[in-house]
Amino acid sequence: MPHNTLAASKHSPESNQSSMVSLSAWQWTGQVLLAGVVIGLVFLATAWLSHRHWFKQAAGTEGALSPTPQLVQGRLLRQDKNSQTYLSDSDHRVALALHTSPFDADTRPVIEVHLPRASSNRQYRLAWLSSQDAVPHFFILNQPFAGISLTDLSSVDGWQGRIRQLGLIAEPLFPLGWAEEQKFPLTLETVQWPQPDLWQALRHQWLAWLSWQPPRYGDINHLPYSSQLPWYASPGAVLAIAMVLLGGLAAFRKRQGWLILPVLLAGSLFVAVFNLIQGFHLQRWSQHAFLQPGGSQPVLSSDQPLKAVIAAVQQAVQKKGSAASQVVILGNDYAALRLYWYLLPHNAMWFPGWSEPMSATIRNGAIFLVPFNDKPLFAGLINSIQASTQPFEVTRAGEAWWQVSVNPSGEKGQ
Amino acid sequence: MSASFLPFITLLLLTLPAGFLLVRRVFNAPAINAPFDLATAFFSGLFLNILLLNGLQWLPLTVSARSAFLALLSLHLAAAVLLMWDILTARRKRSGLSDQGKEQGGLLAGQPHKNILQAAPRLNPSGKTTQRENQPILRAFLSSRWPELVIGALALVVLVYAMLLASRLPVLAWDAWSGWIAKAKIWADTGLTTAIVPPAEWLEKSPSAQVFSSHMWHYPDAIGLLYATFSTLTTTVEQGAAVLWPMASGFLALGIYGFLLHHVRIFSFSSTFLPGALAALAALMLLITPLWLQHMLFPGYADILFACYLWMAAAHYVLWLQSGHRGHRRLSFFFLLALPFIKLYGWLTLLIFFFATRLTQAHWRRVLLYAGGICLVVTLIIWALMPIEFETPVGLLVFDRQHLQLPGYGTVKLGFHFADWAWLEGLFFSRNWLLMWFALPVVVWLVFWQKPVAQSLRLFVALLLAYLLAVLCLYSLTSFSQFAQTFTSSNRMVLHVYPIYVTALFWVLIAQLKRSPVA
Repeated sequence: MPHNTLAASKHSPESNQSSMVSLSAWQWTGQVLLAGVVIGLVFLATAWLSHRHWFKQAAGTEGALSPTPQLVQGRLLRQDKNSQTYLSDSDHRVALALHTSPFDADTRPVIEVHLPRASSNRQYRLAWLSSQDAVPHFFILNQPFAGISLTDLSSVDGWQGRIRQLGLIAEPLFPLGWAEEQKFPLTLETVQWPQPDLWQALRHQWLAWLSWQPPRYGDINHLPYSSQLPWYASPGAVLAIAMVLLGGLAAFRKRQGWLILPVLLAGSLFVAVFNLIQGFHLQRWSQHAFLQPGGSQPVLSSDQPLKAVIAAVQQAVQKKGSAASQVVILGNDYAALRLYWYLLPHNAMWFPGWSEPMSATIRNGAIFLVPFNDKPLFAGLINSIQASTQPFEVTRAGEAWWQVSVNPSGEKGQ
Repeated sequence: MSASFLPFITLLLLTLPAGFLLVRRVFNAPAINAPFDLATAFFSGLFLNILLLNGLQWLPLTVSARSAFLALLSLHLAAAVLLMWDILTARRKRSGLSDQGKEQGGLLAGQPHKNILQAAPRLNPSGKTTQRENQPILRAFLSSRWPELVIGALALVVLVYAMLLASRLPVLAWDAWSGWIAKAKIWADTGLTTAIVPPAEWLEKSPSAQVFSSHMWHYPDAIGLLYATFSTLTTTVEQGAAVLWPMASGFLALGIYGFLLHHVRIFSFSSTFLPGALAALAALMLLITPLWLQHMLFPGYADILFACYLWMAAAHYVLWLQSGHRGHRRLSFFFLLALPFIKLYGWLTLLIFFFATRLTQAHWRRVLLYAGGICLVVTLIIWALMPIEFETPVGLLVFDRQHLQLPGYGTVKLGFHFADWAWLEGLFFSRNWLLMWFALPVVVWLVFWQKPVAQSLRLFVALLLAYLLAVLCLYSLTSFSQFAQTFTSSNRMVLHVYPIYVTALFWVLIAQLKRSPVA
């Protein structure tokens, strides 16, 4: 009868040496099979758990989940902002209206979007108008993996009642990388309400494991392992539950307590490899989101529009004298922070927004830089500074940036 | 590995000799084992750098980043020479002296085991070969040191990969951009002694005077100073940032492995293979925890470094409790001192640490009980008397139900915003923690209700619980709750005690396998 570690540890070290477990090849095979079965069962259970709403609907409404023709098989290829209805007021978002006849939200709990040329530099959001609400609802879709984004809408706020309108919005994560984004037009293949079955559930569960959420800047704690996916979609959950079951089983049998080691080893290998796979996704995303191809140093491609502004500002500062100019950067985003970084050690400082006390302290010859994507801030700034006593001049420095400076001659311009 | 990493890695490794000298000669702390001592030396050396750079800022003359770099380099090279000299002298002494003399001389003398291969007799291959030959292959594998080596190799892959990836990604986080990197660039261009003024002062003084500002002007300068020093080796500081965080994580992992291995030795697990591999696994689990890994990939916040120093302080405090050697206590205080140099929150952590350590002593438990009761009564009285407003020698103190205005600090918005679901989701239902927090109730139960358990392990868990409680209060009673709702900084606060938790978890696991008192 083999002894286990727990029992052996009560004896002397010498007795431990001779009392360690000795299993035959068949016993080892059995243990490995047992571990496989337990992990497989836990995987099945979590797959069911994450798709339970879907199965429930399928059981009660047979045929009701058949896809809507316009929505499912309509191949909306290479649509752009000029040929579709806008759901957004921003120039830097692309929206597709997925026109369909109204339908009950309850009958369509899972949506599957096929985006064969999906850009991970974009965030895909679903927008809809429900009969119960006057305002549209938005929900960030799971990031496409292998061109497929699968999202369970059953527990999403606002996915209720009759859905009157449905749309898909593709929004760049980095607004200043818009030029890069032109290489990745929104290409939508199909949107469908998939029929529920066990195979689909398993496939979706696997995709959910492998799908990766790209980071949003300045928001590191959401990235990329945020709580956007529930715990049962995590491979760590399967690992933990399998470990508990196996450990419990071993403790119950009082024989193979030491079996926890290979389980832990295999589990940590699995999690480590999984994290590395996530890292590969990150690298792939980073390459076309940030990096210029061919460069030896990582240069932010999204910084390209800033370069012209920086050069112009540096030229203006040089003309006026190095200590004469006060450069104020306005905007609470990544671009403003980058600009601040590039302009150091000039007399540059970044502020999240305009405040009235600032107008009293702005010196003659000051330069204001406002990110192009912050139009409300810019409008507020223009109103504020034009209402102030100082003679401000507002000029457009480029397509993406505005420059506001104090005009020493005292004339106001636009 | 990119060649641009090598100078930074070399620079950081160069801190080891100075760290060793500090630990052995100044703090007179005894050796534990090679991995743990390496971790102690690394973090001591790094903090020594931080202290020196902060000290240079007080000089009345302009100190360029290059001068600071050369000063640090000279110091570390001198320390390396001294260490070599010491080792050579000790060897010479050992060769000429008796066995008694061996134990007394030299930096490396007096170690419980001179290398980790001697950490446990089971690791010695002699005498086991015959037995292993008769074992099944997998069994023989598990009985050897190979599991630890495999785990170690995997940890190394994770760390190298983190460095490579971090160097290819931009720094995105708020703290890095608005604070460290901006400050580092200013100091690299104008010298370490350049003052960083508040934004309002910048508006007032510029451009008539050359002043620099940051919205994190009041934050500790340690990381910005390190980056500025790094930047003398290259054109940008971002590459250096990609190395520091994985290296700190790697040395912390070594420390955890060594710490648990030390207890394996104490438990006399001389013939089982399990605990050593579990110790290595604890270190690996830390590195592959998603949130920890993410902070290595996007080195934007100081929380990893903060967690490292908090763990080192706790570990040495525990070693002091176990061995009574004052060197460990000195080192514990030294590492605690590093916390306020890394984050403002470090001051609060010092208080938490103080109270948690007092809980291990009976008379202090009574004192704290009385103090807690008095505080509760005083709080109720203050609550009844609100709003309170009076002038103190350092400024006006205002305390009402919405605000607390502290003299010299500012105003803290108060209000009960218990983000319970956000906390639950963040700790238990997100993918940040590998579901590790589900084991917390089991750990607490085993440590506090199952006898016998050593005082030292209780201290570890008491510190963990005190920290979590403090964070929960902070993020429930103040406007910080918004950061819990958005799963942002609240998770980072939990990250601070995560290494302590992982260590306690595996410590309990190893102790349960042994079914004996812990230490």
